[in-house]
Amino acid sequence: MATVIRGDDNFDTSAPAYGRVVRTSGNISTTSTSLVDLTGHSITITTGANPINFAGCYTVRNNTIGADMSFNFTIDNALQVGTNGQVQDQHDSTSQWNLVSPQGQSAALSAGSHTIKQQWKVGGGTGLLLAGTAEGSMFFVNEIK
Amino acid sequence: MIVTHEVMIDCTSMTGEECSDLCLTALGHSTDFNLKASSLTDTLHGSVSIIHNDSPLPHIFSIEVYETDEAPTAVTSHGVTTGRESTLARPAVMPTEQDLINKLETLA
Repeated sequence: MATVIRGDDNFDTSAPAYGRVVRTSGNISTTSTSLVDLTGHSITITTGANPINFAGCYTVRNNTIGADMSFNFTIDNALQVGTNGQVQDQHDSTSQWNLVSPQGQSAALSAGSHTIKQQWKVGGGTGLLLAGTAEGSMFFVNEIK
Repeated sequence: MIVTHEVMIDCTSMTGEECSDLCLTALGHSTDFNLKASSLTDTLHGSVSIIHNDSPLPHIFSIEVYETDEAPTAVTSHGVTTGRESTLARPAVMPTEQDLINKLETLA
């Protein structure tokens, strides 16, 4: 095991990379049953050879009872949470809002620039994600060091 | 085919779903050009994603029209179905990009 002493030339003193997107300019909807980019929810950061955490915080609903909304992430266009993603079902009422926080952690990335995107889809109907001045959406990425 | 276009729309008096449905109607949403699944196993010809920006910013549309047919990808395991249950199909009459833009502009 390498011993790292402060002041050592090999000690990584740079701050962890991070990025975030806060949207408050208007809601987002989709009717896509295949994963599509959640427009605007894209972050490019330059990391060391380290893993990252990625997450979103959203208020969503679907106007079709029984229709899923699935959320996934890509890092450099590679899906991170299976081929489908993390699922929220609209199961009681079309007026019910759901607080979802899709998230995950990568394996160690190669050192360099990486683009992380949020994707989503619906099983049917129209998915609506709140991103207005009253209920903003947030998407963020943190390098782990 | 993916068409991205911006149109000034004021949808403050309606829900996002209602605004989306209004846009679907303008685009000619029908059984022959199905852009929204009304059941999980519908056959779809495309989809519409919208950023409903508040004024003075325009709404931003991303319309995808499927150019090739794709079977469902759904799998059921232990009683749970995941993946896509809808069928994707190229419409019998493929619209042009300009067709779709012209239809969106009727919303302005």
